[in-house]
Amino acid sequence: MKHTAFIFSLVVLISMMAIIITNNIEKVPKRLLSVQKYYSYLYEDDLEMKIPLYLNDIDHPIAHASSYDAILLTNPDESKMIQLELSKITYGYEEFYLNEKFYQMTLHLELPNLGEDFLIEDLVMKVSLVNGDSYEFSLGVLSLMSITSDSDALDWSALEGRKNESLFISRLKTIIIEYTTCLKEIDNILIGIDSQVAFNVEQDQIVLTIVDQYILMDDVPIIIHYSDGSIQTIANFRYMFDYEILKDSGMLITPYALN
Amino acid sequence: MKKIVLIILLCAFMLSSTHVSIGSTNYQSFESITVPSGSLLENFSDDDYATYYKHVDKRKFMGWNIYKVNSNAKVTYISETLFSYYNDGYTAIDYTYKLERKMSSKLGISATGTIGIKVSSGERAFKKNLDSSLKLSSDYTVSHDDKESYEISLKVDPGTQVDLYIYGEGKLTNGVASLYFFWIRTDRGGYEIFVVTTEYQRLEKKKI
Repeated sequence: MKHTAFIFSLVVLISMMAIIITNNIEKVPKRLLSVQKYYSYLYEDDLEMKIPLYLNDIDHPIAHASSYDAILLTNPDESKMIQLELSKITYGYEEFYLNEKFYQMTLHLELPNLGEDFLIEDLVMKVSLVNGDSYEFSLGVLSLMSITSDSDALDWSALEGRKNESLFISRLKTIIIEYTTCLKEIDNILIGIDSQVAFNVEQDQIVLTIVDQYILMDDVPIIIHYSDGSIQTIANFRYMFDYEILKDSGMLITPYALN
Repeated sequence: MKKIVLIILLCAFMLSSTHVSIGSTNYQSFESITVPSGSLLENFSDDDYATYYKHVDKRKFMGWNIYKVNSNAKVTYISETLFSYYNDGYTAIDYTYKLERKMSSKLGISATGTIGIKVSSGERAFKKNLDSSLKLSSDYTVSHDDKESYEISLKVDPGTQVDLYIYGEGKLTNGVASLYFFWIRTDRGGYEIFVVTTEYQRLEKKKI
């Protein structure tokens, strides 16, 4: 009898200790980080907007495409609004930020052909999940252009871009278009709505210089306006991948608490 | 007792006298790596080793003696051609290249001498806890289970070939280390850790 009582007491004691320890384990709050970025797209078939977000818990429902009910891109006063379909989520690199590990995930959203240019300068993404949770994330700027190319005067042969070494953030500074022939005089070059860039035409390359601004940029289209009024476009191209985005983004990061 | 001590000393001597290079990692297969100030482990000469080993040859009771030759040195590299694709048809083709690779691809390690590298499920790490003794920043830490995936979509015009190249920037830490066990040196050699910080893509297009 004593033996049974001893074992019973031991089991109760161990169970109580386990409950106390479990209750006292510090639970890490689930967080998501967004980073202000310039999203510029030139419409073409099957075009996807790719939004990177950073999570400290990759098992949270927001990291899984099947959890999403609706995604809305809008501005704070909701005067502009566009609903997008999520096609998939891909997972990128991991980065430590303020002693916490964050996983990069990228939402792939199907961009519709609006038939006209569409600009949101204070881009907000509203997300509704099937479990009833909803979130709003500040993303930066969205420029969606719908332009038809009617010239191929520039026979380009290579594209590459570099960031500003002294600016640290993941933002393009120069784009180099190497070419074999350019049959028309270039009037101006854009990389987004109202985003004209300085350019310098050299013997076999055109160097675009993008103005320094405190917002990320790694993937842009190029729209070349010629002096005769014709337009040539070069589709979106991702010029670089950074693996230290959070470390270098500082005030561009907005943290959000997740349920 | 004397025999046991002699056997231990003999084993330690045999272990420390071998000097073999460990197999190359991904970053060593890059077309070129430029270190503006400093050099890669593979370029350390015997004289370099002789100089650097002086910093780690002071015997200690237990653990690693470490000497860093380059610490977080900025490097640039030219990697491989990511893909080459041509369209010999009469209409433009939408081509999507899906890049999927282990997280550890951004991190490469190598070693010389008797410093070992263990490979477990594709994960490479230094043996005998050298990683933690190096006190590397979190930039040098990656998860080894997950994959990262990117997609690159291009429209390839008829009669055109497109080639995509990768080049970029990274950080390099290397040096020499020696491990002691009861004041006996059991391992000594060079170590190197390379981490990619930025990848640039260059797209080339030519008529075929």
